[in-house]
Amino acid sequence: MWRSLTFRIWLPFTLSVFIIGAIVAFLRIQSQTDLLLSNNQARIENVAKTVALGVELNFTTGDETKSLEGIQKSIDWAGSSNEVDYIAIRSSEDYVNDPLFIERRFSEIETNPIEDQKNFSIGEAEFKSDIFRGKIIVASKNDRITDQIWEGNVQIFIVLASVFAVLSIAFYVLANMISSPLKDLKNKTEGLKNNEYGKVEVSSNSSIKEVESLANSIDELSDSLQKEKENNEMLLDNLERSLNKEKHIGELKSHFVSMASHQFRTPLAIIQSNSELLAMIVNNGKAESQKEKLIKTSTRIGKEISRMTQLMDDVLILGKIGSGHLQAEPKELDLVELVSEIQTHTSSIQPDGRQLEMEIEGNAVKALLDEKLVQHVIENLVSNAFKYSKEKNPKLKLTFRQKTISISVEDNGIGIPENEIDNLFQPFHRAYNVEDISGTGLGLAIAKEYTDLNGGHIRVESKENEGAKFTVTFPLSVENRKEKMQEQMGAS
Amino acid sequence: MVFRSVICLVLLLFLSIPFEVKAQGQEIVSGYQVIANDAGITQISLGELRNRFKGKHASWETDSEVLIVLPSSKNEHAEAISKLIYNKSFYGVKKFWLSLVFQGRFSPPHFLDSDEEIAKFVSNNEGAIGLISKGFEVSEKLKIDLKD
Repeated sequence: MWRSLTFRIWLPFTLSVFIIGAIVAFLRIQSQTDLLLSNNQARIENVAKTVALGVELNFTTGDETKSLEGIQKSIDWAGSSNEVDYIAIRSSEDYVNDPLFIERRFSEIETNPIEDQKNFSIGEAEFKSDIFRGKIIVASKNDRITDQIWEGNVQIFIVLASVFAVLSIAFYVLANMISSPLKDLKNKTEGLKNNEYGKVEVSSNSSIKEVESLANSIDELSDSLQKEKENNEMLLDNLERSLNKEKHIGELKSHFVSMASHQFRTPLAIIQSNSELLAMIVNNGKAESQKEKLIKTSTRIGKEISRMTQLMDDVLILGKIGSGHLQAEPKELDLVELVSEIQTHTSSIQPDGRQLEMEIEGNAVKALLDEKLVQHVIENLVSNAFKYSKEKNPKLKLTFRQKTISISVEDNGIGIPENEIDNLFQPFHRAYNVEDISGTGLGLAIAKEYTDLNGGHIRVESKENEGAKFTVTFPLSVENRKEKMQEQMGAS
Repeated sequence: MVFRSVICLVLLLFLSIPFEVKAQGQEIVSGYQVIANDAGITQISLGELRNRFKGKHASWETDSEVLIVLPSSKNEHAEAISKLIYNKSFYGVKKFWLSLVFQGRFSPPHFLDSDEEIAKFVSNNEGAIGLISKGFEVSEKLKIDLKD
């Protein structure tokens, strides 16, 4: 309670009012006392003058009875109707012939007023008669004044006490008005302790400018903390994602290295064994007789070297994509023409004489695409279709829709096992049913990356032993493609 | 012997003073008569008379208020009666009564100018008491004998 703001505001105001009230009351009583004492003094002096005049006049009447009766009436009047406690007649000091001192007390007084002038108001007046001359001394107790003061000031005390009580209550209400917004702020900012910044809204409608300002500051602080918290959460989320990505990349790299080393070791092993065979033939001096075998072996070495070169090229391409150094350079591309060229070329090199069947659907339009990359993707899919199928012709279908262009390549080959489809586009991944068919496992990974770089996507539908259908889709709209490209870049 | 005679003489002298005063008082009193109205008494001693005139009793046995009547300064008996009753001058009597009246202990006496006024006042006011010349004729019922 002693430390509460309400009490600390209320106390000094109330104390000030109390002190001011006490000073006012004291000054009022003081001035009232002085005034009443002064009035009483004047009144008593008038009474003394009146009595002295009465005594003087009555003494000079010449009629002894009347003079004494007059004096008696004068004294009785002074005593009964003027709040006089004491009257004395004293001869003048120079009247030494027959000195006289008479005193009369009208109420019980313990001390002699002439000697105790502190507690009495005393009036004196001289008189002079034919019998003697002297002075009248009239005294009145000051206690009467004190009683009058108390009686007169009761109302003042009541008024002051009422004013004090009202002001005290008013100050309490005022102090409470000042402190309650702060209490409100305190209650509202409890959420800050629990980091619930978003739930803290203290915007005060207080009439006190400073409190309103404080509330707004807390609101701003709360908003700022909330934003900071959200940023931190976002950063944390990003960090977590980056970490996961890094971890995944790490795993991929590990896998990549493992697969790459495996892929490189196979042709190297073949080259090594064939080169040893070559050396053995030459050392035995049978080169001439085994010429045919020699050519076969050297051809095998050349093939593996080509395979290794292709493998190296693919690895380098993936490395470029991964490092972000490879960017698509879109230009207006006539896909019908491109696909036709690919159809002609691939059909002409097939040893079994199969042909690529082609179908175009929709109104052909030119698209903004990187020709090189798109060509690589289609060639890869077409070559795979020939490689993993027999007898039947693969089909290529080019579909122009309102917003997209699709290129699908379908074959009736060995297909892809269902559980291998998810990892199909991973570098060096090869399904278990293609182990007898040569390949690097990088073709589809590169195809996917190239498709992504052009803002498209690639999907596969397949059943083992029934064939596979790869579909590449590019958005026609530049904006859509850009969004897609950005999404792809962000994801990568 | 001479010393004893002197002592005896002095003692006799002191003893003889009251008698002399009394004799003087008796002599003065013999010139006046006491009159009172409804006082309930027929005689009064000189000491009692003095006490009554000095305001030591406020009322008579008849419950009448004691009204003291004295000769005024214009009365030829003023000084003599002042001396007789108060053993003071008339001026001293006035001061004496001023003191009593001032202190509210007694009502002022009535100062009258002549025996006639005194006799008239006493006869008209119950409880009144005064002194007048012996030869002045008043009603018998007002007269109070002065005891020796």
